[in-house]
Amino acid sequence: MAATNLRERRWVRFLNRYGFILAVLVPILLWFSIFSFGPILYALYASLTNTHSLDPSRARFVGLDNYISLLDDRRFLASMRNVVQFVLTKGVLNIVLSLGLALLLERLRRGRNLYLFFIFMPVVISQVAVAMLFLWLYDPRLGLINYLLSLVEIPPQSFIRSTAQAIYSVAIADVWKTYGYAAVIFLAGLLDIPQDYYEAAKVDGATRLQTLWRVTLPLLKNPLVLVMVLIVIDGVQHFTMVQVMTGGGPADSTLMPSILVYNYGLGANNYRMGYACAISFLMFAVILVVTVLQLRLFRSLYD
Amino acid sequence: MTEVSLDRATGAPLPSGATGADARIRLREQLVSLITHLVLVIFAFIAFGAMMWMVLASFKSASEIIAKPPTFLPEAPTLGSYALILREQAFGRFFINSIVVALPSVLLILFSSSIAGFVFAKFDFPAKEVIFTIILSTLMVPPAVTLLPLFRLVSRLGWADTYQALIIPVCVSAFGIFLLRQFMEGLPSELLDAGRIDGASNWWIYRHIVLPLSVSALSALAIFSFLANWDSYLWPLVIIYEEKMRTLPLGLAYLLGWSSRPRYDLFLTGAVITVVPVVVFYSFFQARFVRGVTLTGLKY
Repeated sequence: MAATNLRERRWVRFLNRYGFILAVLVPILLWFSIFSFGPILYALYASLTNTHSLDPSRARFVGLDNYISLLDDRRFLASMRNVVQFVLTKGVLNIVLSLGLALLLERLRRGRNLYLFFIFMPVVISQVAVAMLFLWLYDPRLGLINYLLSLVEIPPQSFIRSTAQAIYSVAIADVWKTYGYAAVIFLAGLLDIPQDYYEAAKVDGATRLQTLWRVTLPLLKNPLVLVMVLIVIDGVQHFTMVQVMTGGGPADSTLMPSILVYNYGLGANNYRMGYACAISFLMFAVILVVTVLQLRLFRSLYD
Repeated sequence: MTEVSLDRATGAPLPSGATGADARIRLREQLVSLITHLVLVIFAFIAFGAMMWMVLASFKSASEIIAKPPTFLPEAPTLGSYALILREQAFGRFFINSIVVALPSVLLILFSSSIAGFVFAKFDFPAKEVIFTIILSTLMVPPAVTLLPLFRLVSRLGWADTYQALIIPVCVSAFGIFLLRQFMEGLPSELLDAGRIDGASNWWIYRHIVLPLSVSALSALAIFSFLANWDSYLWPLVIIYEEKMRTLPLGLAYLLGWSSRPRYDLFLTGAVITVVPVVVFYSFFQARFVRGVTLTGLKY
């Protein structure tokens, strides 16, 4: 009798202490197990098999075969080349535009929010809608951009319909949508810099350009690293706008790894789930490396 | 100031001393400020003008949209493309679908993130940091990794073409838990202890003390998760087959295959229907949107 009582009391104490925590964490962890950890582990396992997307019962373990075949897969190699071009184009344009914009906005005493209101707007609208807008702007015959080019006597371009221009065209559309976001991060970083630094530079007789190089940019390192990492992580995973605008074409010139995962995994006549999962895990590896490098870089910056 | 300043235009000496130099500095400042504004106006016009042109185009007839030279204002404003898109493509239904999916998703994310953030911020228990780190590490996994396993799982559950297929797999957010934990760690523990001494339950403290104090973090999270949900394309593309279950981005993308020639009148009208609610919402809460970026420092 006494023993049960003691056990009961212990149980009550346990519940008093951990009851709320368990009531919260058990459902949360259950959700993560079902919709996050489980699928991740399953994808890892599938990447080592020849699983069919619709009928996984016939799966056979193939080791690293999927990863090895990727090295010979011309479509996969094309997607790697494209994603590097995409990230570089996007990164350079995005940082130059957003940093320039932030530097201009910082100088303002009034009206900053009014400009931000317009410039940030493309950030919030749907990617598919932006893709539709740019499909129209880029149309070789009917689009606004070729019309504007014709006004300054530049011959019409084919943009997303040409293998040479397509990847840059989709990257530019993406920059139009996203650079306002980086600008806000840079602006916050600029406004954090104490005015004393600038005054000290002025007293020392530094020119505007010198101040920018020697004072402003070094103090903006953290936002710069953050923006670059976001651009890389985002770019590596990019799917929506390119899928809608070109579907990866023409001739695979805008094919992205995510699009390839979708096509191999769920495209008609493919359903090669194992193979597609191997691609997705390589993307994961790239993001992991970038994130670790970022943490290292941040740590060295703080020291 | 020993040197004599000359007026650039006439070569005549300006009024000597500080006033002349001041005037010149002021003039230069005004010029720089003018150029700054000019460049900013161009930036703003490229961002907003393109969207404005899209909105105006949705009120043009199909032939006017492809007219050369292009018109800016509609010559004969018409609601024709809206009527067509609502009649032929069930955009009204897509709109409702998007809302029916986005609202519960956002509410569930707010609830799960805040209560889990509360537990991680204000309670001690074994393996706390390990659990938290594991949850946080899922943020690095690209959606492409879980895409196919989730597709299999959700199909097996028989959820293809249902609302829960679009809500349940996104209703908890590792990022939201992280954000709210960070924020709630800044809340003074004395406030919570005061509630405890009065015998309040943890739920009561969460509901009446922690939640009201976390409004700024919650509103940032609400905005970001709403935008992400409204924008979501890949997952619905995979799991929705039936036309009547499409969300706006999906319905919009399917317009591409609707006719052999690009129907820009419908593309743009559909795009306007998709972005208008977000832009209206944004217009009212712009400061919160922008502050949300700096608060979270992370992409939605």
